[in-house]
Amino acid sequence: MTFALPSLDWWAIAPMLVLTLTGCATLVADLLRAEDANREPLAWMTVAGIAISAGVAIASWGEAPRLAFSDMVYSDPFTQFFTVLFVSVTAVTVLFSFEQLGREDFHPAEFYTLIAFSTVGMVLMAAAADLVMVFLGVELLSICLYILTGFSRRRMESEESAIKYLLLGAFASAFLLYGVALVYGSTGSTNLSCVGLAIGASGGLAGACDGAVAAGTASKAVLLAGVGLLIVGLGFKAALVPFHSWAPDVYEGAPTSITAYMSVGAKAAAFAALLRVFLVAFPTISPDWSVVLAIVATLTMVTGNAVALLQKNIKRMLGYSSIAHAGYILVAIVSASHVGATSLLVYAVAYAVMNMGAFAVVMALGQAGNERTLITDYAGLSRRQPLLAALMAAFMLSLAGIPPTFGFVGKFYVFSAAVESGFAWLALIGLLSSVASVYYYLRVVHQMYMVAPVGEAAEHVPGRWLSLVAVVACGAVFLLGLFPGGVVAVANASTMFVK
Amino acid sequence: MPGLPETVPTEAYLALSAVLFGIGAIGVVLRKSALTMFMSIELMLNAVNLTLVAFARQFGRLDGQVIVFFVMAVAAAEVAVGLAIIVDIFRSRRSVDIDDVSWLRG
Repeated sequence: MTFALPSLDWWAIAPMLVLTLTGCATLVADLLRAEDANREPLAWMTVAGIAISAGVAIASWGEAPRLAFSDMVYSDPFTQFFTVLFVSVTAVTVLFSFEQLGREDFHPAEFYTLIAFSTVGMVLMAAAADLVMVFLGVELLSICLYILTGFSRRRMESEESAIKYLLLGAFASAFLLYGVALVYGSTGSTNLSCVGLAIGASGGLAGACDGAVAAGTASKAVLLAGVGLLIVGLGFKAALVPFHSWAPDVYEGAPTSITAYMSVGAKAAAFAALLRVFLVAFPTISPDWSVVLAIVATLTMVTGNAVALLQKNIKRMLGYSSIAHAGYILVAIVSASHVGATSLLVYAVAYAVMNMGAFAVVMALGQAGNERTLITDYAGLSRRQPLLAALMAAFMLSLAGIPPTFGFVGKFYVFSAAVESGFAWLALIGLLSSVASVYYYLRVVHQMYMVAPVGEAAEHVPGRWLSLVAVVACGAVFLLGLFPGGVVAVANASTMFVK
Repeated sequence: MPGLPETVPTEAYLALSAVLFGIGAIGVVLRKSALTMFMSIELMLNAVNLTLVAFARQFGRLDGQVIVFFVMAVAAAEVAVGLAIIVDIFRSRRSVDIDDVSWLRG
């Protein structure tokens, strides 16, 4: 009797493999290096791994979409799009870490390993073709983030935010998992496209669905309960109201580089998973969930912006602002259309660029032992650091959605997709709440340009990598704001699986 | 045994696991000790495992049972990280009561 090995499509998961190997290699390299050796080689190893991973993802762009590893992951333009986005965010975080490493006595090898593994989790969430894969991606990402959140152990707030994130995160994972179990119970499968077939979707890229119940026989009540629990679980990861209570504390307590990483990468990953799950597995019951998600989006936009108005700490303010932005992105999923999915991808890129830029400036102003994250610390910044002040002003305008920035383009696409799908009221709420957000973004600009500096802040030169990231991000904010055609075309090609 | 059904129906397992899940969720919300909260979360995860196994038995398929192994592995990883963080908190504050951990306003 011969035993045939299943043919494995390694190329389909090559970006994830490269990142995993990079993480392992950093750990081994750390053992081999001398105790007091320079830490930078580990960071460059990570950056090199990220670059290879991005290169592999870009090289597989244009291949026919397919399922791999027993229908567990998709290798399609959507996966490749998010792979490139996630590894870019990770690369920027590694550049951020140069600053933090010197400042907070980080143990670098673990830091880079965890960053690499959590990126694998994010990519897995975007690539998942099965609810179990979604769960594993979420957990891989979350468990690494729990540790990274508590990474600056000398600061009490850091470990406190880690325990809060851990307890609430594990709590939410249980809901996510219960949702998976109930969907499995009602449809007989956890594969996204098989679930879709069992509840009446047609077409798409489906694998072997021998276990799934026949179309139309799924128990609707159990299914809806499962879908509701999935919304709770993924909504927590994306920090949607009312599942957001962890976010401001965690964003404030975590090291700033990790805050930036979480608020952009983890959030985008949760939305990639939400989009894939809801538009591949549950398109036929979209009337049932789109109303729920529309209400959640309304709460998220209004609460996020309203509470951000009251914040005195800029990390907390950006935390609430990122909750509001999650609300805008959720509007794109509510649209449940191809245009909506495209707008989600465009918004994810816009949000990544402007938020990473804003955090680069926040980090550039921090000093050893004093992160300087109060908004009043920014008073008179235009006189002390004119370049940083100008960059920060640009990011604030973009986050507020003022043309001709990329932030405006993102909002424009999201809200017009909502209007097209008959959610004009939701787009209106989004517009009104983003008008309110202009106030707190411009308050930072006001502090920087109109208020005299308080006391004599010690001059210090911002790290070169932080400045570089901020300048590049600022260039992208305006360039892509004026010429968004390229990004929109790529996003459009990446969401062909949504009808 | 006379008077008892031959096999326990799937619904009974589902009801039991829903009750266990509820007890776990209530535990997380009401308890103040980080350790007890963590145990409650484990109860929730195991309630889900029961659901998965019950459905898998009803379908006569193995995939639901295989998922349980994944869940167990993930739960073990989560416990390892969670206990490490709890020990770290205990070292610096001599308490694992979640109310004592409130430097940040939630």
